[in-house]
Amino acid sequence: MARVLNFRENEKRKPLEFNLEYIQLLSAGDPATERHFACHFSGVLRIRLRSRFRDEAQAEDVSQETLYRVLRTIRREPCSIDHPERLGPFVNSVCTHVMLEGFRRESRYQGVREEDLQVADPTLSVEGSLLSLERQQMVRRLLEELPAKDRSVLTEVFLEERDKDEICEIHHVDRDYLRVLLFRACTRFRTLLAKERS
Amino acid sequence: MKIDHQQAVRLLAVEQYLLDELSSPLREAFEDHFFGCPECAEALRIGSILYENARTLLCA
Repeated sequence: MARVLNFRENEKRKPLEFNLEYIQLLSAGDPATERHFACHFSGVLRIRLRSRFRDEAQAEDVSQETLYRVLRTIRREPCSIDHPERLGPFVNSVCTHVMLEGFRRESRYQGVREEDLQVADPTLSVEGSLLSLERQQMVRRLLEELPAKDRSVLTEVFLEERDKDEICEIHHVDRDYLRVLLFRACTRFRTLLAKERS
Repeated sequence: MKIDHQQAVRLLAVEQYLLDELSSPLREAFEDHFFGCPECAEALRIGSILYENARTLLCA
């Protein structure tokens, strides 16, 4: 599958609204809208695909093919996007089709079962280019700020070496506690990232 | 099944997605939602960066 779009990973994400004007600008090849489209959808596709593929290159191929097909649909005359406000779910559905085609092809030629391909690869990086010592130091600081018990819980969640129910049982917490703990950690991490950017 | 932003916030859907604990229909509905929602997409992006960096740090 050809790589059809280039974009800057760290490009500031402006608020977006999917409407007829957005589709028209995309159809006309407006550079800013194209950049926005590539930046936003590459990001969400990567998040979705990380749990489905062992191989980062495979995920990237699916992502690029999805974006290519969506753009091709948008630029077809007459444009067949009936509900511009549903562009997000439309891209998601195209991604599902592309994935299924890939799974069928793999199964046919390699005897690989679909469920084998749907296992998350723990080493697969979501935003490999963003991994850095500075960010790891931020995570270290974030964990050190936590009470000992929360730090242990979150560490075990991140390491994914234990089942989450088991983590809850050991630390006498429930699943809601895990979610809220992760929510607070994400909020704190966002603040630290914002400081880094400024 | 459809999910709107208020429901996603109420459910802590971002955190549930990262923890891989959404049921299949809810997961699909939330994927449809965050593909078109900049707030949820950004929250997932931040959470994913946190997860990946934490794993790298803790596994080192």
